Amino acid sequence: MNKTPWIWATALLLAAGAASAQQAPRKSYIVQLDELPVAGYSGKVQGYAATKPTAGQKLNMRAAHVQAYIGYLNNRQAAVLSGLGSVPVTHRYRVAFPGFTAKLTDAEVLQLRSTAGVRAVSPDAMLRPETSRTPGFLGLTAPGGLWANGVKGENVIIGVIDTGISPENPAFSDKVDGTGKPVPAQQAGTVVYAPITNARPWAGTCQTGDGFRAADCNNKLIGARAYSAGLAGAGYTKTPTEFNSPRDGDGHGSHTASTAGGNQGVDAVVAGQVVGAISGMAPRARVAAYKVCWHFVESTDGLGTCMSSDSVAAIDDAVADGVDVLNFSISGTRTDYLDSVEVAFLFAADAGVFVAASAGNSGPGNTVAHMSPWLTTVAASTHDRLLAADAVLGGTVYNGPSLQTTGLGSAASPRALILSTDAGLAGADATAVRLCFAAADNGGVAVLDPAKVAGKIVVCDRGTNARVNKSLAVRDAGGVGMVLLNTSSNTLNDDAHFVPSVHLSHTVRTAVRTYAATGTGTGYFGPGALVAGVVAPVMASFSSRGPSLASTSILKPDITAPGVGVLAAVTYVPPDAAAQAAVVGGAYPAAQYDFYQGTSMSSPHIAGLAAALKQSHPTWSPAAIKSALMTTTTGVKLSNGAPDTDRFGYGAGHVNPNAANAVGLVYDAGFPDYLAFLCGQGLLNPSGATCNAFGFLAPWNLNLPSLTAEVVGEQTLWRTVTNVGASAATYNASVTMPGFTTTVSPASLTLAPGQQATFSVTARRTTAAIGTWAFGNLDWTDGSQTVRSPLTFKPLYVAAPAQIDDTLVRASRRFTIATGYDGTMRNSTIGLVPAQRTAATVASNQANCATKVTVPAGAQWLRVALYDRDSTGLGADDLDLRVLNAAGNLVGSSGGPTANELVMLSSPAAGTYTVCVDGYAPKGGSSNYTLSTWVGAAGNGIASALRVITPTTVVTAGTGTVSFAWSVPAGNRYYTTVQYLDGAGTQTNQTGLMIDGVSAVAPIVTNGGNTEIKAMLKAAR
Amino acid sequence: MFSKTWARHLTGAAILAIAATPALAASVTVDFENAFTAVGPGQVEPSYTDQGYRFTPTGGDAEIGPSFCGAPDFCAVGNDTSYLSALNDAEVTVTRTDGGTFSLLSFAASFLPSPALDYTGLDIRLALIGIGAGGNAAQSVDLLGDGAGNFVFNSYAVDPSLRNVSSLTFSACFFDGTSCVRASGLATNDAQFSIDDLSFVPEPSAAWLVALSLAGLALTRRRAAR
Repeated sequence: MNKTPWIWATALLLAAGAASAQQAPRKSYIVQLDELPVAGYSGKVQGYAATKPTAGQKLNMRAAHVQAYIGYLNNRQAAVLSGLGSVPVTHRYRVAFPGFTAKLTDAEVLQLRSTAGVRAVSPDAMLRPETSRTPGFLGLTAPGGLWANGVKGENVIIGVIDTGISPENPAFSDKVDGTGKPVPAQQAGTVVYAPITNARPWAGTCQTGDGFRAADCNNKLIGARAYSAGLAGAGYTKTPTEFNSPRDGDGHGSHTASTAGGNQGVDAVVAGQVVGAISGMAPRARVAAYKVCWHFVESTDGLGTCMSSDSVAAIDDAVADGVDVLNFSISGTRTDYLDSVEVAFLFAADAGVFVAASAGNSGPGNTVAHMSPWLTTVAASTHDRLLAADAVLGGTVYNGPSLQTTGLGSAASPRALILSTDAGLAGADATAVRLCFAAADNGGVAVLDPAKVAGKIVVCDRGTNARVNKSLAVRDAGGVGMVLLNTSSNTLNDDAHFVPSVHLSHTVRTAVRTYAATGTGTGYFGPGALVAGVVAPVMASFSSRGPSLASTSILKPDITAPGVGVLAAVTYVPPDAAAQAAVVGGAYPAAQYDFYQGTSMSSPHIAGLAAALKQSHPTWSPAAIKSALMTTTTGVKLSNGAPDTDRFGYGAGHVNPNAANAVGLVYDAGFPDYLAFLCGQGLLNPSGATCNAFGFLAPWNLNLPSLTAEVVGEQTLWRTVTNVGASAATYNASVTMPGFTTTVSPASLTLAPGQQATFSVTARRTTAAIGTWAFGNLDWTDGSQTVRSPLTFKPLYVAAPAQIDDTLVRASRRFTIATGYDGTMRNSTIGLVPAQRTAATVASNQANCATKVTVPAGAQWLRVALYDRDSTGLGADDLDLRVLNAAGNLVGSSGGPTANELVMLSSPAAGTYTVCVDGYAPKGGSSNYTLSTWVGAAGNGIASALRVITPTTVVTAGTGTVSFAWSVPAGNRYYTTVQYLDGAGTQTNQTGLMIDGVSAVAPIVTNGGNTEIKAMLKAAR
Repeated sequence: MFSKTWARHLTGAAILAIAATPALAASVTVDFENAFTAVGPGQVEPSYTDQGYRFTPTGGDAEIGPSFCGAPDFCAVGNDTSYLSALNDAEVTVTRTDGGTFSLLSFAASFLPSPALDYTGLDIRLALIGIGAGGNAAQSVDLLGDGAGNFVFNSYAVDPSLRNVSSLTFSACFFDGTSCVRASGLATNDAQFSIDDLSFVPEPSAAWLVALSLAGLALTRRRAAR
């Protein structure tokens, strides 16, 4: 008898073990409902009045009817959740996004997707975060410029969604000292900002926490919030040096906030030197910080992350708080208009909030992110501030970029000169010594010998490690200066070095090294001086390029602004937990500044300038502000000074704020236009209430200031312009569009103030090359100002989707193609090729190159892919892919942030290829994965598994129906391409077909976050 | 017209009827269930054959199977089963595999809007042209939209003038107020339609003639036996 309880206990334990083993894993998902959120609700639900603000007004969250509608939304969310039982909900949204975030099992995801009222269920995504000379470069400080006219963003609120904010920086203080210089808010001073005055009270809040007190908010920094529920929901933990509060734990957020709306005239000190006075673009604007990006323990690369669900929560609150402008210098989707962050921005725009977002740092590839038409996507280019100094080495004068103002030594007292290659510590790697590795670049071990370096100028080679780390190595070894030599043709940069440094060209490298190698050489530096005639703006190579991967009829990026060598506020990042505790305990660290580069830095330039325009034109919609900015741009140059004609780098051009403020004609658009656009894209239910009410709009007819289309024979685009000037005006059209006959009808518009007019632009190809984007301009001129729209057209024989994706193994898909010639049409395909699936294992920082693929002569393509679904990390593994040809040369690679990798080679040469899977950061140190390969060669397709129907006869500017019908065995993935041929058998276009018979639930959504940061770090080398 | 010609062809028809035993089959409905294929001039198989009836597209191909059409495209709706869809201006001609004559009593049909194109407001019809012994007969039926861009399957009775034909051709057309035309109403490749549930009946004359000829055959044999 005594044994019975023990047996029972064992049985219970076994049962508990079985239950936990069967517990389906939960992951974080963002659930989008059909209801309109508060910012977009126009009163369709019986008994609930409209909550959407009217033009020029803001939401009033305290109004009874708004609270009533929020109650209705809460009930709807509860109704949807009630079908699931107990589900952990991490965020509930109501203002800018209709839905919530919850941790769900695969089964619950499938159940929700079939629940009435649920529009989308998408996995939560990890995203990554992405100024002194620029106000002058942009003309703000010129006589007659915006600042001279008092347009500095007065009473306009800029919300910054980023890594938080540094409260001790004078850029974010409402006080100045006796000389008018901004002082930290915690110090005594004269308050120069009155409480914000708006049509209604500011509804934001000052959330306190680690190292962030209520007193840190003031009349300049009027709000601060922090969001980490999504981070915790994803199972991540903040690092011990992070601050669980709005306090910036990285520097990125303070940089973007001070660039957009930081105070004017803040002296910035970098590496011990005052390097300039910084200012935001709208220096009198108020700033509200929304912290969504965190450093976390599980990071495999030491970089922080920003969860989409936290960003959506921040956007939701920012709109409710009453911001006028939002800056989002965080990576994002490249393809999905219904991505939760993009949708939240749609409702923010509907509430009158201008949104600037970074285009991405993955250039010069075609990788532009944040491609939604309702926000302004910003590329990055250079500005013209360059300091250079003489380096006098043994009497020979060399001149190169040098960010210092005092010089080093003199002719009378020069410093000794030494080659780094003569100054290495015993046993140090020769290459690391030549490149002047800092300890941080070399596993914590220094490579330069202080005994040889102390008091000297060290000659270092460029390459591999960050340029500023080379001067850090020199300083740490006791050196006093550095000569940095290019080893091949490359940029010359005035970086903020740790010791006075001069950067010289590869053309003088041999002479400098020969002299320094004598061991008895000496040298000194003159003071740095501004260089005249610097070619700018030039597109930064890292800036992500268009065309948009979501729609070829929407130009992206929209505009470019300075994003290279931008000086702005950063923050104190504690080196360890003890230092963090000191700040949490009440010690305010010193304000910090640094030079950053990236589209993260260009985006807040546009956000700040939009705030300035909002001050002078309070009734302008976000689209009108965007139009004014885009139609008044100036040109972008190549580094040799010639015009840069590749519009996909910069969109409309380089921002020109003074002209934007004076513009009298805008292309306006609003919520109904964007909804009709989404209906036209097929992204909303075509028979639902929304599409019935707003209709369907072709993307090329969306009322953007850019006109973009693929032209199959002939294409007409429609636009409507509004006279926002104070008086009647007559505008005449003129077009420059090589290779096309382009007509504008009507070609002249006379408009009273506020009056709108609609016109058409019809482009018919004459000589433009088929398949190549061509660029031109449409100008509306009233005699005094020109409103210029970019024209971007690509002529095609046949317009067809690039790829059809399906998960059904027995189905057919029909789609319309547009045709640009008269004649007959045929098709050709090798049929659906099943994937060869190879299971293998790779460990962290190892490569598995066991897979060989034989490609026969005449193969059309070779496709190699990895899937998150096919690796044990299920989205948490970071595996990369490389493909080597028979000679062992790299011919394709894919280095995304998870295990979703794809390499597609067209017309590969015959031979045996090697596929390597790199364990960049597999979860738990190792990953079991299944590799998929397809060889697109005749005979590899399954016979009769695919039937293709194409039209027999086609006409110019006509259409036709194409049908793919297939039947293949379940449990594999299949790929092929279908070529369209004209009467002569020449290929006119093709469509890929991917049948995924493996993934039951939607693929795990990830992003280019890691590659963004990797690209940024590479640009600093 | 057709009824007057029957008597003249009695003898020939009787011989045909004897040779073509499938004509003895009971009334059939071709509903395309379980079929999943594509036929036409651009395909391996030019025709689809079902229960002795052959469907041959010309001018374009036809697909046979269930519909996978859905949002955001406009679809032919109201039919979840398999059916035949004639794409890109294709016409579909129905004949008997044995070359004999037949009658179609009724069928279901819908216009097939090109995905993403809106035909709302156009008077779109399906034209039937029958070729019989005595000449041609024609009929056109209205294909109905749902007002939102989709078109809906409907059942249609075939005009008695189209009974007892050797071929029957379907094509989509646009009614311009006086006649149903192809070229001027719809743009190239826009004339597309779906048909289903074609109810063929044993040809009344043929059945009667078979009985008659069998009787005659029996009589002949009896005479020969003598």
